Amino acid sequence: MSESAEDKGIETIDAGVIEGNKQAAETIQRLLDVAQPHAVFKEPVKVGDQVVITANELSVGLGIGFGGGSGTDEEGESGHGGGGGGGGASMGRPVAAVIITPDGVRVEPVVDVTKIAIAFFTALGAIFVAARRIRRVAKDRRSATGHSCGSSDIGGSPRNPARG
Amino acid sequence: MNANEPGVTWSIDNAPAIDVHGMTVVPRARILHVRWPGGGWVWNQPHSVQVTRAGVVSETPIVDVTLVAIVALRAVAVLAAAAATLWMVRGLLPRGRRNSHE
Repeated sequence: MSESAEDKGIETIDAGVIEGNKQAAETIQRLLDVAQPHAVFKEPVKVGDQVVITANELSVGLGIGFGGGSGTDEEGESGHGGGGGGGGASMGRPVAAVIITPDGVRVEPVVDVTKIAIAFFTALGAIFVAARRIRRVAKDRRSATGHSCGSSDIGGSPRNPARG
Repeated sequence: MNANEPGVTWSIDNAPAIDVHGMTVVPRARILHVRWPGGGWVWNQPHSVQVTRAGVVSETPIVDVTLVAIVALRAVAVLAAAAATLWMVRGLLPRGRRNSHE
């Protein structure tokens, strides 16, 4: 490849990377602009003499990257290349319903029982694993001391020395 | 700081006001913007409802019961794990060294 063609190729990659980053920044901004207060609170719905507004939690995250480069291998052949990638995620969840009546405004929470149950069982699992590890260490400790102590060293129940 | 620039911004913004039953209701949301070159993250959470009635302004908080419950459960799990680790570390220390700590 001639020197000028190579330079031209690198310039094209650089221009592509710059343009890609510019477009990525615009895309990110457009997506992040979606998460505004008017997106959190939905359009009011009239039911009889009540007006209901649903309030939601919204979360949007994303990242995009572009890059390019050039180099020369052991045989003196030079080359260049570029690439890009990205990823993102969004999450929405109802939090509460705002109910406006002629008497006033009240907020009714929306409880996600499934999420709470998952968190509960995860916490329970963590506690169970921790308890098992404590028991194992206590057992190892007891066997290391040759069952000579009158009571457990590590918070266990008192042991009968006669059984020792 | 501009939300478009890299960095972290935390704000409470008002949604459009609603006039109904002689009241002006303004829903409010808290917004966390985290921007970095090539990416970003936005977290929006309902904050409160501001009600203006006959010139009297009151604010009703919006509590995210699910989030509070999840955070409490995770805190319990972390505390249990920390207590277990502490207990194990104390148990693994040589007897003399442990007694010197006590």
